[in-house]
Amino acid sequence: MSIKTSPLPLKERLRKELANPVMRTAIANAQDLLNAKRDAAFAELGDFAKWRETAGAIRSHVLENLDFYLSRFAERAAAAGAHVYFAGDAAAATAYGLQILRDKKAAKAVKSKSMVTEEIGLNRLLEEAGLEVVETDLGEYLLQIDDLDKPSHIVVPALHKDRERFREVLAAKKGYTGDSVPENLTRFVRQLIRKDFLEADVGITGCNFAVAETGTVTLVTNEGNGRFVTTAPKIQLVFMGMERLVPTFAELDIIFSVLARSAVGAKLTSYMSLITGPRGPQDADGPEELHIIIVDNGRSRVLASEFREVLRCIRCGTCMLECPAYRHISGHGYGTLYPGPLGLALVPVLAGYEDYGEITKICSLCGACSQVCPVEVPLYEFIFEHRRIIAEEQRLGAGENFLMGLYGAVIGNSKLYGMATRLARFSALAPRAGPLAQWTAARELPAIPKTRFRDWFAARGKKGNLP
Amino acid sequence: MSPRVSFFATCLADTVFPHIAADAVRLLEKLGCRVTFNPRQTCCGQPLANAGFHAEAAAAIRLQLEVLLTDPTDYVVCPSGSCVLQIKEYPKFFKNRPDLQDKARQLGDKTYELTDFIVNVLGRTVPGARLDGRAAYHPSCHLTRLLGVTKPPLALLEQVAGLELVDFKGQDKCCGFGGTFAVKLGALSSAMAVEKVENIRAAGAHYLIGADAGCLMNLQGIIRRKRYPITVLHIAQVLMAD
Amino acid sequence: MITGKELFISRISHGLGRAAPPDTPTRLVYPHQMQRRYQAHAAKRELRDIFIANARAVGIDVRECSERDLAVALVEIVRKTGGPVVLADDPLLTGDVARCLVEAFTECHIWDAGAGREENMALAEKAKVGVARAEMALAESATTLLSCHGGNGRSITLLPENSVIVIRAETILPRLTQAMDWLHQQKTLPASVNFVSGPSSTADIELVRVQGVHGPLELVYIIVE
Repeated sequence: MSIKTSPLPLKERLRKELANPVMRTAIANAQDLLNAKRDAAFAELGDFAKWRETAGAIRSHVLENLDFYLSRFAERAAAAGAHVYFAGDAAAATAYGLQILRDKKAAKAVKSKSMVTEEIGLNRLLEEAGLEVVETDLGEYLLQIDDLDKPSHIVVPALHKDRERFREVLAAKKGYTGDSVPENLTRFVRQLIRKDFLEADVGITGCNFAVAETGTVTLVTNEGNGRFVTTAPKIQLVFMGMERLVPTFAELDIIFSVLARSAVGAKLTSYMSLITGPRGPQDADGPEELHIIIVDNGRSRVLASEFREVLRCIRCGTCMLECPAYRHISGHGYGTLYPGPLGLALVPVLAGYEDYGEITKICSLCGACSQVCPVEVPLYEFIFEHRRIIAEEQRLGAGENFLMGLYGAVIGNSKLYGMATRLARFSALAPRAGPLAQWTAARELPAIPKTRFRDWFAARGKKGNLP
Repeated sequence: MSPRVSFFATCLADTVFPHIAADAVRLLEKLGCRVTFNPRQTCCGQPLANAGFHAEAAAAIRLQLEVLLTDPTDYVVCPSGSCVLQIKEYPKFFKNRPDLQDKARQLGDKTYELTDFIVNVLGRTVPGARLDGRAAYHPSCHLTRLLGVTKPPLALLEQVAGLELVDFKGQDKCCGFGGTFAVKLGALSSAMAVEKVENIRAAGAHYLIGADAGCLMNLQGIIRRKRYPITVLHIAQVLMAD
Repeated sequence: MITGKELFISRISHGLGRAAPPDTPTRLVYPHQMQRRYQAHAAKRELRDIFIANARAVGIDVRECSERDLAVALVEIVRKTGGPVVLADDPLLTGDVARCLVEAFTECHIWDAGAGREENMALAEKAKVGVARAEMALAESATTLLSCHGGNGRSITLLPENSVIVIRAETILPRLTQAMDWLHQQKTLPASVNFVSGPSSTADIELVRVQGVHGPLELVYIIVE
């Protein structure tokens, strides 16, 4: 996969998702449940405003000193025995990973869920090279065996599927004969993946946050697959986005404290693994070699832009859970690996307006995302600003440019406005095409009265009431 | 001294919902304000700005700035949180014009949404309003989240005789209007509106009340298409009902 | 080894408006210190009660005993789950505890850092129960901190279906903040530190919580005086 997850044009994608009641029910339920859990978790913690202000300040501080902290992290990780590779783009990152696997004559890799490896299209490249790559997060595993279905959420990737679909996929692809009770489905997958864990030559992970002072990389999971991937295989590859750093463990405390609460409404995830270098001389298990691949892939462009602070993001997914548009179309409607408000703020600057400017339309500017973001990314403002740039660069098409220009001319002039609003009552005669059809497909248009407010106000002394 | 109020009607109320604007004016007068309306005003420019067309919105923004600051009044009051938000954001549009930025700030400082003005500036409630039945209140996003006006509409509605306010599922969620969003991605916008309307209906409401005509137009469009027996009212209309 | 750093970092520096990384970072000012206030003045007994309540709330079986009775407590647990057992090579476990377990059950192995990966992992994979000692525990999140190195192999608390983590009562601290302080003070870090805050679980299918995905199905904490 890469950032683009669908070849369909925007309106086709939306049509397809809006016509999927299973997905829409699943996402709506998930939003309601997880948002309630998040609210309860932060209520118990208390001082949400202080936590997010502090977490935001930490992330902002890292970005403003990113060159310093990355250098330090690389030095400390190397001192602990890790190989650190800086990859400017997706091609460099994946090529390095493939080379390691080839050098070690690896046949099978197990992987714990990682957004950045999806972003750089690692799986496809490895599979094309004849290697077997097994996703070990339960949700990701089911997407992978379901003919590479795409994640619909960055934390709970198979949120759009129901248990019946899980059962069908396991039955068709892996010979499962049981029922659709989640526990039974999970046990079956446990057995399958357990074998993969023990057979794999290489473990591939992302990195939730790296600690600059010690060269430590961290993984948070509930399932325990993060621990497995960093325990059983002899070689571990860690892919991390270049901004995913904290200066010291003190900051990791703050970030982890808000991460699990925002993502799943838990105080912490079941497991948090802190990996510092390969296994030590006294260690029997754990990787003999640890490679950390630090990925730019457009991030330095984001850092240099006015949208720098979007790199604060800790990938908790809470903006998606809060978003009323995401609710109806899931991550699939966006057609981008990073969906929802984060996707709208990040992807156009990470990967360009040319291909991704259009997704900024998927927002009613309700502002809910900005209010829940645990690191205070100004999502609302960024989406608003993207739209300004897109319009200014004339990327919206001649029709819209013309209509908006016309509208601007009318409301910019009192006389023109007066004439236009007097004609408005004849709008009922207008053909139901273009924007009007977008409105009337599911909604009635209000009837426009003959008398405008201004007419009433002017005539008030004489007549009194509105006709 | 009775407060002098310059009324900003909004283009939507001026043209499509004149009775909302008229009731807002009567309400302000009932509460002792001297209300003026400058007919040179047009539209705050928000539909353009939200769609990214800042340059195209510039003329309208300058026009409102000039018109609304010309009137020798104490306040500008407007029956829409969304339009008030846009006015309060005017300084952003003049990053390279400190003189206009100052004026924009002046205007922002004296501009209030109707219910916010009544409760927090006048310190008043509205006596004598009566409406019998169950009502769902839609807290519109710009009013609630971005302007932070959460309590005043409820405080005013709680005093309306005969009115029972009901909570409903997803009450604080966006109705899907979003200005041009509603006509650019109409299907998605409608899906959001439909969910909201179904939740309002499930709560057994006779009335849907809001403080923003845009959201109300959107939800009313669904309610009428589905022929649900729910009457849609702006809060100004409710407060003037007897 | 570090590869490709210069060009990569210089791109970032340029993006930040400078030619090279600064010698020192700007000062990080915490606007608030709310994390340090959590149960800052709680007595040990209080922290222990909070820890126990929070652990039980997420489905962890919590037991308390004196150090002398630890062997008895473990035998009781293994009687239910069955063996074999794999123990971390820790003074708390290798004496009496190991002896009693061997007496009661035939198969009880102590992780042998000197032996190879395959041998140790094979024993852990066969074991029904893995027992390790926590460096410390955190009341707020019912977390235990495992330093996984040497005799405390990573696999001990990962491969067996049942995980038993032994906690010394006096090591229960308020929250993650104190654990991070401890890590910060370590001269050298073990290659693997694991925080455990519950049994392995997932909610990937319709958000229904299922306990036991890849890691242990059951988690037991034993607090020893």
